[in-house]
Amino acid sequence: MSLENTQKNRLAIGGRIDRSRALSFTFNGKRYSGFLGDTLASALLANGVDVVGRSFKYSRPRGIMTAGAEEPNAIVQLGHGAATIPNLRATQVALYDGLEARSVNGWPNVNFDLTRIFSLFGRLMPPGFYYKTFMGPKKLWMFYEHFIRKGAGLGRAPTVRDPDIYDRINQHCDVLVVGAGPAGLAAALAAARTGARVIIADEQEEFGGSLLASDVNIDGKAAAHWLAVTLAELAKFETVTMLPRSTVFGYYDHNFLTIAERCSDHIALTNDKAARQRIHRVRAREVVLACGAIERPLVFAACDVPGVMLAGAVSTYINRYAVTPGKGLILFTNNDRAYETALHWHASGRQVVAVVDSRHNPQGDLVQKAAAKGVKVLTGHAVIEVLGGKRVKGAMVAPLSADGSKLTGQAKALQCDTIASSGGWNPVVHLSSHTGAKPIWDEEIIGFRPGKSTQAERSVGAAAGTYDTASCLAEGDASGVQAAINCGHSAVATSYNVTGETAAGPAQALFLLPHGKPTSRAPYQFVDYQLDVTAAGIELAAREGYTSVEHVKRYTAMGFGTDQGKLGNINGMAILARKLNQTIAETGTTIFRPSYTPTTFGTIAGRDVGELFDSARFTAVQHWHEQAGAKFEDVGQWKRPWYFPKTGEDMDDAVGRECLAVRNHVGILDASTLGKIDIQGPDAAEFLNRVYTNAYLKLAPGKCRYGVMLGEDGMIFDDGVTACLGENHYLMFTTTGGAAGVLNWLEIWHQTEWPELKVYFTSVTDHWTTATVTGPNARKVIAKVCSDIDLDGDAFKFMDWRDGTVSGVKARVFRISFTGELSYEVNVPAHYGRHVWEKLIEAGAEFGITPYGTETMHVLRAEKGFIIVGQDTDGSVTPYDMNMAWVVSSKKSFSFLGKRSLDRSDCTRTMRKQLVGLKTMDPLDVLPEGAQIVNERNAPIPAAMQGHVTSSYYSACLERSIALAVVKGGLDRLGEQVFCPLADGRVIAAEIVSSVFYDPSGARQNV
Amino acid sequence: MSNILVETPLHHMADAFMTLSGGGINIHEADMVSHLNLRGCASDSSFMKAAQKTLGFALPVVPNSFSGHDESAAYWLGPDEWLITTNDIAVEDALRVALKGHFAVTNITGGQTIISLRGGASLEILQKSSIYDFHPSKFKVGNCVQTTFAKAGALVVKKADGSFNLIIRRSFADYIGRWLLDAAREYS
Repeated sequence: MSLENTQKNRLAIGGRIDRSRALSFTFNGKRYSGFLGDTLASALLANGVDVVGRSFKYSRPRGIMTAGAEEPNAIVQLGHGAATIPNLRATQVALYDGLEARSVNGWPNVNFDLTRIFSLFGRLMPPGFYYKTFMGPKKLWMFYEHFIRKGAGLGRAPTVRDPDIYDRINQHCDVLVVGAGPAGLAAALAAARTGARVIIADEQEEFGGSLLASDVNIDGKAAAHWLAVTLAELAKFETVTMLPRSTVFGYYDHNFLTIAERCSDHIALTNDKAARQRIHRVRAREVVLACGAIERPLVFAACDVPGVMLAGAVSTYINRYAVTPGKGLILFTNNDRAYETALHWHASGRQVVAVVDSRHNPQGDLVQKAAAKGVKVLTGHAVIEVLGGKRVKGAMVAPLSADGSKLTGQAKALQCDTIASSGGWNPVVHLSSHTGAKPIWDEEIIGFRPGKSTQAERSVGAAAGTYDTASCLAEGDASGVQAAINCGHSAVATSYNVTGETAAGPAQALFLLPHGKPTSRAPYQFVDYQLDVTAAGIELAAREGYTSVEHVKRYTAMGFGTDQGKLGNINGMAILARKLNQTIAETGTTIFRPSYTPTTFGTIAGRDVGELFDSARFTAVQHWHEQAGAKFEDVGQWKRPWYFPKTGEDMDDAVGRECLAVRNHVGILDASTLGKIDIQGPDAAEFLNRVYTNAYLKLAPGKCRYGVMLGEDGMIFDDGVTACLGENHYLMFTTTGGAAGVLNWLEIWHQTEWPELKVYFTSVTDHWTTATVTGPNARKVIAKVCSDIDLDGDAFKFMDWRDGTVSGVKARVFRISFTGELSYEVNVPAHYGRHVWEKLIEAGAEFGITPYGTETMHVLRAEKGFIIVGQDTDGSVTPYDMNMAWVVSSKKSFSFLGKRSLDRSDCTRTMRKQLVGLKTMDPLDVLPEGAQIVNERNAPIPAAMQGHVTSSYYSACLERSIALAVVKGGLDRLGEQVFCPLADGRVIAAEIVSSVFYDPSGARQNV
Repeated sequence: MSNILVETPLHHMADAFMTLSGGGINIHEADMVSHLNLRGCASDSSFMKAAQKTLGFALPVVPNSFSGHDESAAYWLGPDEWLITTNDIAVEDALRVALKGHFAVTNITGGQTIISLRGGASLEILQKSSIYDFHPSKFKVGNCVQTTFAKAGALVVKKADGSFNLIIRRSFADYIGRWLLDAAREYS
């Protein structure tokens, strides 16, 4: 089979495609062929595919209009299943063998008309639809949304996990150059030659920009040759990173830019080792924006019929891809440069029907050149309407007044199948705009220039409205030199000698063409192709009183599509300006935001997915826990054993068993996650005295004390035990989640308020493995593995600690208890953690030692009424509220943090919420945590809330449910009945009781 | 003591790291050494002299630099804070004996480990993991820096042979190990 046979628009010679590498692909289920070097768009055009999608609102057939990022119509979904990618522009999809693409819109298929339904849809959505719907009842939006989403055809997200790898890399450079056309390359080269670190990124498949299809000579070399030589030189610098297929899509504060690199999109969809796309997060000292310009189409009736294309795009397809996308061309222009398209078309051997030039007397060299080739030029004329449905069949051409505002004669039909349209060029001001620089209208270039720089950036070349190659090179070189100098490098300017360039004559400012009928009655004159915004819609907005461009944008949805109005916005603003009888400068433009082109979520997420989504912290005993079948709970970033179910046990069974084992025998808990801060220095005790509510000055070596820390507002911030390790040496335990915050807190106070105190804080959380052995048999277990500590209850008391040796390892053993039972917390350096843990398990076997997790820990401490900061407290409770007046010392010579706030009237008033216990009337009812508490069973709604349940469990030991709650004035209400209305309609009655349910005298831990 | 099991934080990943070797990257957990956190006043010459005498080299005072050698090194962590890594367990007590006045020596051996990163892809792997600029023109032999590493932290060290060490906390080691395996896969 000859591939050329299916590619009716492919030229026999020319272009940058590799004709020896034929590729096969499918589009909307049909098989086609193309060549290596094609984009999906160029291959479709080569194959004569006219309709590539249907429009959003009116379902009009649409064809490929552009050759770049601004493409509004050829939006495709690539691949299928997990690796499918929605919303790609066919103009930016490199062709590869086996590529599968579908139109994202156009159900059931793009060539099938559902005219009746769609015209109905169009009527459902007049301009201002979104605006009015959002302003209207919410219900209405819910109704419309269903149809809009279905009709909108914005592609389909994959429903299963994306198998591709995405990567993220951080870059730093002196100079980041965006765009690798003549200006960008000259800038990069100038900077690179100074030794500066340079990154140059370009969104296209290959570097070169306009040089890829240019007739000029630079320094005596053909453009393509100069390009090759320049790229080779750049590649030699170790300090230069060249990123083709890389879109700089966002420009943020402090010269931080993001680049999406398409690493393997041009090869195939999935690779199991390397990334499909990679985000470069670049911190650049200087930025050169050489991102080019986007051609602006002219607006006329039915200018969306497939076959109407941007003039520059037609040239690109002919020169770079050897595709002439039609047989007979009408070029419609208001400027000289577009004449090149007629010349290129002519040179490809196909017919130029006519050049229709809105200007009455164009004199430029290109105009002469076209005339010399025998091309028919109709000056002072306009294309006012396109004939045809799924492909251009002709154009209605009429004489135009000199100012372009009226028709001055009858329109006549000219036959053609392609209309190249050029209304001038819009500099790509998007990235500059991301920085907050407001684009400025420039009458001379008839376009918006980048606004005043707010960061270390400058725009050059077409991005700054400079369109001839010589000036682009000169501006690029100067910017590269300046950027490098700003980075401290010394640079010299290079001058380029450009020949073969044709000077362009003046263009005409022309946007919307008149029609025989008024705009509101003329056939649709499309401005924003992606969202079907018409000139009539914009004028309607103005008539309805919208004068701000930002309001008109929202009213009409102009620029709301995935193309962000790259093609249509300026035309829209010009139409609005004319309707409002003001200048475009007065009308202004909307501001662009990242992303420049849509960026996939996968790329943004990078490697932070699945098990690497967040950092997970493990103790040294983790592998033992896993082997023991533990279920894990997230506590901050820590993975802590939650409970250890035995075969057949559910969570309640396991927790009940674990609780009873601790109360009756002995249990073991991995408490390594508790924060631990080593505190040393002659003022350590004084410092502790200031940050804790209770006194520390007299804490002797070998002793431990429980303390509570308050914020400056007097509210509980953290709690834990601090041990005196020796003279001027303390070890502070914090909550697991609070460790980093507490260390920060101590450092802030030390560094900013009390630098005179001689004290050092060092985190030792990770250094120690802590095994809590607790229960009536705990002493017997420890005695088996530790011979050098006198474990006698009188020698080693509750709230003491001792140095010793446990299973051959130097250890610190603390007699502190969170269960209310006899407890030993064995601390050893973590590299011995697993060893000591296993020895404790071995030693405890004969006593029924039972590993338990955080859930059992929670139940046991709740039985004792011990609070958990962050569960029973919420940043709004004082120690008094927690019934912990005993922990607040009033005798300290120096104030402590938060003390003053405790005297605020709000802290001393009655009826503050106070910690109490709740016992449900039915002992089997377990209140949900968070349940609200009211005074009456049938309290009218809204009921006066009395408080809420903070902790609630079934206590296997007490054989009933227990709960902790904060209740208004609760400590004076012991014995009262309160009610918890639940979401399911039940109301549970409970009695207010003491928060200590078990062993109120504390006898069990003091043995 | 020979029957005492000693587990480094990444003992379970040694085999996984081995699977990478031979490509552009070689990752392994270094042999265990003592890690000591040292606090003291850099402007106190008696403190600095005593530390130098004990260690055999001066404590670094230039931010983000380290001194010493393979067996024993001191890393600048802050104006009054250093990390000492040493394979001589006697250093801890020797420092306590030699130093006078207000200082702190804290043993954090159990809480840390060192990952060695060598090979041509090391720089790119660091770039994937950290926002710090590790380019050889900025981060030179003798430099070290405490920085974010993926969603954890690390002290990154540029060694004399051009390879890097990551000194990390035990609790984050498994996460960082898995992160490195993932980031290095394309170079293996």
